[in-house]
Amino acid sequence: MSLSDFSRRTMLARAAATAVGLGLAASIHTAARRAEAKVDPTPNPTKDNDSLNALLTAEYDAIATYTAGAGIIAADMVTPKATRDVVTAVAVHFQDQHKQHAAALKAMILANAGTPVTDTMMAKIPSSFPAMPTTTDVMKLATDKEKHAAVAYVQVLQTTSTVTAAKLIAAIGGVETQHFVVLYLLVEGLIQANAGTAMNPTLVVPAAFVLDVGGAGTTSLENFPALDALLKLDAAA
Amino acid sequence: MNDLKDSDDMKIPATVRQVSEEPARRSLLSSGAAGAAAVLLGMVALGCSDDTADGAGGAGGAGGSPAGKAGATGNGSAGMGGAVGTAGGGSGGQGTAGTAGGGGMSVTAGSAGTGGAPTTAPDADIAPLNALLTAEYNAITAYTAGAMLIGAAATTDKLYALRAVITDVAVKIQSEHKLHAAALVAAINSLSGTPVKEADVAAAFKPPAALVANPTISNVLKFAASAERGAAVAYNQVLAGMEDAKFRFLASSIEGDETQHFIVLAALVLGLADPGPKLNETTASVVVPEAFVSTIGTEPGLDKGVPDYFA
Repeated sequence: MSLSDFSRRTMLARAAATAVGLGLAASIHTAARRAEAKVDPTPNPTKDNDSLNALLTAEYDAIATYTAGAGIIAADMVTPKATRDVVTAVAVHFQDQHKQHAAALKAMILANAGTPVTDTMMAKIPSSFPAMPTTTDVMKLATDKEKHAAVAYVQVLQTTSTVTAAKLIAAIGGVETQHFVVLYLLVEGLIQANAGTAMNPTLVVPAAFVLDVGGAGTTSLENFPALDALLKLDAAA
Repeated sequence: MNDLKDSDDMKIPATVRQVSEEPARRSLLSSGAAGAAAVLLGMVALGCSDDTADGAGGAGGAGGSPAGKAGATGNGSAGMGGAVGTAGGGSGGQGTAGTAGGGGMSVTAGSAGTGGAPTTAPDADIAPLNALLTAEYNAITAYTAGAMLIGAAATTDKLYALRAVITDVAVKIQSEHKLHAAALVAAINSLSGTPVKEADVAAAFKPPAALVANPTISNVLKFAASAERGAAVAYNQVLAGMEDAKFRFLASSIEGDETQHFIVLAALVLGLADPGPKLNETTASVVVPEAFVSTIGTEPGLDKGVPDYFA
């Protein structure tokens, strides 16, 4: 074989390899791009901390709002005491659940090597909130905030990148919606508190999380034996 | 990126290595989402299962992540279980959620078709979306059955006086499940998937024996509350396994509606609240004001449909 033949064969071989390689690479690149696009967005725990901290800020605001609200309710001499007592009991319960949410978010931020935001302990009160608020005004304010929180928890999932964060966020968001609808129905007069409410305020939104992700001592719809018992179908008499 | 080197030896490009690792990860994610989807169907199955045996909550799923847990009480409450299915992945077929069988409604998520070289792999999110769609169709069917039972309640039923408004609330909730189903169908179609058929799911629906044996309004509400609780839990589990954030967003927007359904029904049936002075046939339509938490397409969520009291 002459040198020129070798060179030509080598060139052809290389050309063939390149052609195959390019074609293969092209289809692989397309598949890779498609595969990459499928897992969307690319997991980035550090980036998730921004969203988690925004939600943590909302939780701290909710906690502070319920504290401020309790003071307003206590000073409201217009609303009957019995009503104020049951509203306060439910509000304290909701506030406790928000504290559990805050703790879980903070833990995840720290686990992601992030820095949780500081709790300012100051409630953001809109300028349209009455100067002389009543218990109903407090409930309306809480309804607005729970609704905003519920929406925020869902919307942030559009950019949340890790399934761990997504799971926790959804597990909390599904409780904010319950807070919202209970307060909304009370404000709108579609439901009303009764003796059962006063006796069992912690069953009004029984669990702090939808899934069992909050850690020790927290409650979840996923794992709540007492709720199972309460919802057990009655046998025929 | 193509980092082929100009060499006689064909080195494996980085893109080949990346893609060769990707199916394993997608399979893991897929099996996770499908495992959770099977849990979802198992929960719905429990909601419909024979509830005379405690702890008969379906066999715990194995494999996939999250795996199904052993059922709690098998009485229509939100125990978990059910068979594990495998998601469609990599081969010519596509996984679809299984429809409920008869009797105890054993369900499995669909398994992939086989054969043929992988050309267009089915999207890994199709199977979990179809599992959620199956659950929605089950809910729609269950509310139709429940409304009939409420309508046929004995005059001695302790909730007899409230049957009209309870039915109105149930109809409203059912209408929201229809909107959920439509959104899930759209999502599956966007992935070129095949949505499960409502007729197939409805044909397989069987209410729990304890409800049939004692069809009080209270039992209908308890059954519905448990099913909504189960659905919310399952949505949360399934979304954690979805690959695309926009479907996690959709699932969460629906999950937050299921939790509202749950708490409204539970509050009524557990005596935690009474119907209010303004609750009537007309206002029953706003008991759960919107079908989604965040707006989905043209369907308003709480963000658009419920104005603030203090703007």
